[in-house]
Amino acid sequence: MLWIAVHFPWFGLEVAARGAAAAGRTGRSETGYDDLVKGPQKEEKKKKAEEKKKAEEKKKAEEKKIATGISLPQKEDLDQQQEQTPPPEPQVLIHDQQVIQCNPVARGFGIHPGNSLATAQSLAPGHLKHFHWNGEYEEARLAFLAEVLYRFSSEISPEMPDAIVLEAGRSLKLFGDLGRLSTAVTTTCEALGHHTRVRAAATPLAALALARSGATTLPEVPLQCLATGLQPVRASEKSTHEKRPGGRAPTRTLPNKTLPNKTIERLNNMGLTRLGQVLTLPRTELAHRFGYEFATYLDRLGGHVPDPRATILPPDRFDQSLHLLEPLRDKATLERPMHHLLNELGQWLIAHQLGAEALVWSFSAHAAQSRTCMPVRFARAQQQPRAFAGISLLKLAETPLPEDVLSISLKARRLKPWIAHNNSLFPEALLASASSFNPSGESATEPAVCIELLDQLGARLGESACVRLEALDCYTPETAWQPLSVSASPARHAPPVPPGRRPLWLFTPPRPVDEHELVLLEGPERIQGQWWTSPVSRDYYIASHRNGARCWAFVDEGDNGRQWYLHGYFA
Amino acid sequence: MTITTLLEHPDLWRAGRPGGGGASHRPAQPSRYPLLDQYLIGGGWPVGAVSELCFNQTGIGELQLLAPALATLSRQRRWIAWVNPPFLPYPPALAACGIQVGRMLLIQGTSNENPAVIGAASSRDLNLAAGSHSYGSHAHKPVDPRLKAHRRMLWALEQASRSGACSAVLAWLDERLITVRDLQRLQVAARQGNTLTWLFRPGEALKQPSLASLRLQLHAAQSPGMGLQRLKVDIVKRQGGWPVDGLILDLQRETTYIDRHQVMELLTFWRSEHQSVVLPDAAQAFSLPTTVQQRAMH
Repeated sequence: MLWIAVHFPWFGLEVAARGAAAAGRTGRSETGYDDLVKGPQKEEKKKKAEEKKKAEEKKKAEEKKIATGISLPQKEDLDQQQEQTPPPEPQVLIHDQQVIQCNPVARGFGIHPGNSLATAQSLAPGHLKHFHWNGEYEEARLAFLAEVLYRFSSEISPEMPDAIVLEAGRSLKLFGDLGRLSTAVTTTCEALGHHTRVRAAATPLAALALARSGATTLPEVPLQCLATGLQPVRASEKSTHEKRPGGRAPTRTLPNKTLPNKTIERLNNMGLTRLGQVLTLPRTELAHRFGYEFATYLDRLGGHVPDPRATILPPDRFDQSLHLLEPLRDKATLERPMHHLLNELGQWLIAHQLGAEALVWSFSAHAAQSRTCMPVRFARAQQQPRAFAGISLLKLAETPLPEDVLSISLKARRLKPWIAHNNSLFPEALLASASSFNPSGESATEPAVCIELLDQLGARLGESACVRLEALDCYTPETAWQPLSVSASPARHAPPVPPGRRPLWLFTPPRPVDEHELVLLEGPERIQGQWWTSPVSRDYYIASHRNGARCWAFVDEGDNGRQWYLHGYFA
Repeated sequence: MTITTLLEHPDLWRAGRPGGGGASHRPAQPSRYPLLDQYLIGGGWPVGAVSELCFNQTGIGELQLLAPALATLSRQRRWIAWVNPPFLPYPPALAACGIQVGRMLLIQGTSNENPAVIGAASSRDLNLAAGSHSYGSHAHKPVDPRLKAHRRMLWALEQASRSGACSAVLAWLDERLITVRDLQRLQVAARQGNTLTWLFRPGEALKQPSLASLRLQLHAAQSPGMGLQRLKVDIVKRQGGWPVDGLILDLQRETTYIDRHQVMELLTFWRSEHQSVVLPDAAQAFSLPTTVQQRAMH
């Protein structure tokens, strides 16, 4: 068993700033902080980071075995990279007028968790960006991320407030090695706009402790990190700066399997600040002094006692929404948040190996009072965000929206198992296969371009503006055909053969015409039928109109006398 | 390089040759009217290009001129798109010309000046669509509805041509709003999608320059007999050749239909005689319907 813990150092901030990031209002892009640094610089930094990493790898290899018998394989260390590219704007997460999380820039201004908002604003005058903490969003987001990461492991559990634990041992063979797996995890999370710190260990608690502390070996882990999900920096602030009243919102009520603050305070008072110091102490005496809970915790940490986790089972539907910080009034600016959601949908679909045939967007202003639903249909199930985006944007241009859009939600409907198909390498090959004769007129699969065209036309012109035709075996001219929706399956039977000559242009309905304008050429052909609805009894003639057109005319012996009608042109 | 190979170069135009020279490599779809094919460059409708048909009176046989080509094209697994047609292309008549109706894709315009096409089901939707344009702050400044409809059709036409999903596109645009730039785009789109685009325009359009590869002017010609319909075709412009005037085409209205019908009857009879025998290719080419077979057996 090998466990990977994914810790999100700025989770609260990232979740709160998500709406703003998506809308691009704070100058932040989907992938978060790194995007603000221009590409080449970033590349350079990556290289540097990699060099450092290589140098450190040797060290780490020696440290693999540690006292408790927990083996620590190689790790990907992304912290350096993160710390080298901080966002240029100080951001803090506040709750109850108190800073509970701040980004590195804000920390550079001297802002610390526990400061009041007023203090923070005076430290970074002018450009401090603050967000309000929302526990519900965080919880939902963590659950969503866990679903996304489900593709890496079947045993995965979110650890409130800011980490996810997943069992990696069984996935190693698939992903090659641990380094590759953790890189994949990191990339996935970063694509969704979250910074991660990934650590692996033999037990979930050890992995969590490492990930949350950022330490490389277990004995180095500060004890504070075991208590809460908060960063060690914040914990150390707590000891050096003003004391935060205990039990307030930042240290939210956590599920069990962590240490109570009191225990840690007692340990600290005894001079024990690192996990290594505690682990060297005899277990029985520790249990005696600190209680059963503490002993069990250490046992779980060391893997002496099983540590079952409540694993998640991903739901089989996608329903995500994005709450913007400022109302959007322009369709063009909606594009970015929509891409953001589609990106998430793409990840989700890959994780579930599904394709979606329909999407339902809904745009709502203040608290869902004016809500616009925008269903988007696809002729074939799609999985790629790019495919969704094009059609959705076409449809958006045709849809009236509420004045202000404050939240956008996206649901995936009509999910189908995803069957990946190969595109042909050359367009010519496609055309050649398309032109190959198909005797029955039906095809196993429509060429992809045909499907795409139908989607595009349907989105821009409306579902009904685009129809296909079918000939029916019916005697009266009006009922001998019907429009078919493009998604309908084509008729399998051959078209009926009409009993007489029929015009290529049909007038719907027939147009009255003056008898003197016509020169009758052929006819009559008596067409009778539909006695059960409106009886039709007409004599049809092929006639030449004075204007030169060859037309199909009939005479109707109605109550108002004889009236001639044109029913079509032999065009 | 000899003089012969030089003379065969596709870009070299030679006045002395029918078709202008070594242009035969250009893909063309035979119109199956021998007289017309003789004068069309490459022996048929230019594929991957726009052809303009200019005439003043609908119903003189303009669709029958295209019908044989359409019948061949409809056997591809691509669409044949009708963009904004003035009337309904009547499926039984299309089928009688040998055209596979299932491959027809009808793209209807929203403009009211183009009456007819489809019945109540679509007009309701069209009204809804028209109503929805007018409100909402996301709507931009009001655009002339006619211009808007024109743009939508132009967009649909371009998409259909460019995508490569259509073997042929037949289009009717709002002549008052059409610009040279539009035609230029259509020509490029047709080339990209390898699509045969037929643009139906009034006779006055011939006064304006156009980038179309082929421009024909159509007139109704005096009919020799009661049932026969004749069409006079002037080739006003063909890429790689001089204009040709006064081609008189007999629109062989019944032949396709009767041939097809008779062949079917024969095949049905033959099939009922040899139940277990697999049909030869020629029989499959007529896509013998099971319904006909059943009908014949009853």
